[in-house]
Amino acid sequence: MRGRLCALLSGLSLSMAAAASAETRDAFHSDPEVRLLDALSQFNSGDYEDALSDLSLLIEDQPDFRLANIVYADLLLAKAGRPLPQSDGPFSDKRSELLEEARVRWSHRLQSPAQDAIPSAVLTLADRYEYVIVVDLVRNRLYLMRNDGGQPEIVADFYASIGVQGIGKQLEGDAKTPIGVYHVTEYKPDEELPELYGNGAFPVNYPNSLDRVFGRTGYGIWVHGVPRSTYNRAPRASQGCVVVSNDDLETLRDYIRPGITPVVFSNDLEWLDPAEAAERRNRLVKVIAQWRQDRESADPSRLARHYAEDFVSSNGQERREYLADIADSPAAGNMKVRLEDISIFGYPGYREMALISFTQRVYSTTSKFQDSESRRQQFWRKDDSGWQVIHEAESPDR
Amino acid sequence: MRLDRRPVAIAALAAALVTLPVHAASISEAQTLIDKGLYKQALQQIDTLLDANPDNTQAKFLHAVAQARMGQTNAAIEAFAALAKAYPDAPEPANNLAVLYAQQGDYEKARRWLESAMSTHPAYATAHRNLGDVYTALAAVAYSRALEQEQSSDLGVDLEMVQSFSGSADRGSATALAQSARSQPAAPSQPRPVMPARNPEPFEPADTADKPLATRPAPAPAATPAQTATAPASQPAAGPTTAPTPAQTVPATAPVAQSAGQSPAEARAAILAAVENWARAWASQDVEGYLNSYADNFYPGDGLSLPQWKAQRRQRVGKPGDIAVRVVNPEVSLQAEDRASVTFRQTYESINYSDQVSKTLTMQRNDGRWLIVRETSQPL
Repeated sequence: MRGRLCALLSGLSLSMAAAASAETRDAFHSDPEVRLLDALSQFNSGDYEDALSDLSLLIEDQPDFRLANIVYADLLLAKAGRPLPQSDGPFSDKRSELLEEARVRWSHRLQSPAQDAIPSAVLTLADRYEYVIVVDLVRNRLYLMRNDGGQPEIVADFYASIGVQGIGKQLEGDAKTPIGVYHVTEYKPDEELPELYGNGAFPVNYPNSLDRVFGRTGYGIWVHGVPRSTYNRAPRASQGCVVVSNDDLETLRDYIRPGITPVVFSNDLEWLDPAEAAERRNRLVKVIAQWRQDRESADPSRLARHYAEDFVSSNGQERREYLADIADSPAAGNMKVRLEDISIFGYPGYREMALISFTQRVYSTTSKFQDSESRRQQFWRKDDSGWQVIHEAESPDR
Repeated sequence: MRLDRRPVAIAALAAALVTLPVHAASISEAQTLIDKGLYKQALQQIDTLLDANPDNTQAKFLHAVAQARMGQTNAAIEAFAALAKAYPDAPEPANNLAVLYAQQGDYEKARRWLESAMSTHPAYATAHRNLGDVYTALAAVAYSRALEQEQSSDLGVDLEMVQSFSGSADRGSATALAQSARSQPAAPSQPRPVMPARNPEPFEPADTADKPLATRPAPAPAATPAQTATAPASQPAAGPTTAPTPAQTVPATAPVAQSAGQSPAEARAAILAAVENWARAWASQDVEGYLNSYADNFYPGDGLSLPQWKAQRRQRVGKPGDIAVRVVNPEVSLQAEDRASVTFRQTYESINYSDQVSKTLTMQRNDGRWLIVRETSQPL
């Protein structure tokens, strides 16, 4: 019997020495998933009867949980000594999707971030962000993280579907989920949504400023729920949106602030121990500190060295023009620059890129211009010359 | 109908088991009427019996069976439920409740009742078969939800109702096997229920290190496409034989020398035990135990020498994967103090193949052990 299910779940690497659950201990997980994974664990330990009866109860409670149904059905047939049904054509595809879903859910159970691990994409958070969403596109996992004194801490994590064509949206209609740092722009409630989107949706601001620099097109990237005929969707199912179960969306709704909450879509998420995270953070803190100092300087070449050759601003200005404008302004050399509410994101999708956002206050030291304040985003890239800004823009969130 | 709701006492149990000849005759007449489909007459017969003997459990049980067969499902459910409550260790009321719930499409209830029957009688063949069918029905429903396909309304599930009630608490002995056999309808064995037509999936052989289910004799499939060859591919001998057919029996009173130390009853018991061991060794792929059930002068037939046959059996029986073998309604014919034949219905199931045959084992007693000297099968 075990052999049959192993053949079915061959991608799962169910090891005989089943890991004591490594799941982030205090994180919240959705109940049907926990129950399904517990049943698989029981099966793994040879408690077939318990696995079957727990699955039967789970299915009573959640009859639309397709993965639970197929595991249950396969276990029943194995126990009855009957052959598994032949899957061909569309059913074979559905079966493979379910197998893939099982694999990603089980992988997460076996290997989750440690309770104090810091995601490489979010090194420090300004106070204005109470929560942040981080989606591991490769592992189909959406993390809800709380701002704990500037450090993100996992509160909950959920299985999430992504675009049917995978990761790295470039063009309208390519059915991929974008990679980048975004924020939630609004909340669309159930009543406003077609059934496909379930009980709620959080659109995000793809394409962001950097996406536009790279000429990326498309729109309508949301985090949303599922039609009520199913509990969740296949790992790669949408036109680019990130999709969670309706229960999970309900949970998220209490924590997301439209217009504010950052949303990171990453294809290269690493979980760093606090020391490593601190090291990366501190390097970038030094970088931005030096930039601030040089921004105040009367010598334009000091600021210029922070800007890459291929720099482009949000209104299309290239490096020379942009820096010339700054050098020529009346404020040049006559100001103090203060940076507050600094957030540092390890920008996903690139080997060494960071997004640093902050509130910039410029105080004139003469009476020649007004003090000013603006929210800004800077995209920094590291290469042989060190860290340099490749793009700068007003911060789009409130 | 009056139902006995008092808890079982030994006396009550004994009373249920001990029936006067006239009652035994009436009961078996009623059973015959039911087998023939004459339910109303059967009920009349049983009602008469119950008027005289309101505590006759067999009669109460049979009454419920007749009601079930007539389609009086709710009354039958009530009656069986009362019997199940009064005799919590008896598998028959539980089994029949499962049959009725399955008829109503409540497969989860059917499953629970059957698992309860199996928990007190792990080798109870009828409940075992029914449970497999219920699992299959439940699986069909779950698959249709999982794969978002339309569920075929006719799941083809037709469970076996049991028609006699022993009220005994023994656990899965040869007696239970025999009783389950009696509970079959007198008609030739019904066709096995089938899932909506699907081909079995080709299957990679399981890891030989996998342990089989420890607690139940639940069958699980084998990995061997090779076993789908010809029916019955798993039998070493096939084709025309001179073995006794199922219909043929030698009277039990054939001369059996008493001096060898085994009475006919002892011999029968020993033979049945040997057959059970052989089946168990086969099903659990205990190759050595299986081969040890055969005598040194075993004649394989089919052109195989004994070493060749042994090699073939070693390979087939020991091949990774799971099989299920059941011995149903064994009948022993003693031919001499050290010779007998046993005939039974043998069911065999593996992932790609299942069959039922009438199997006859010719047994010889060597050094106190009954061993197989010939093995033949006939289609049923």
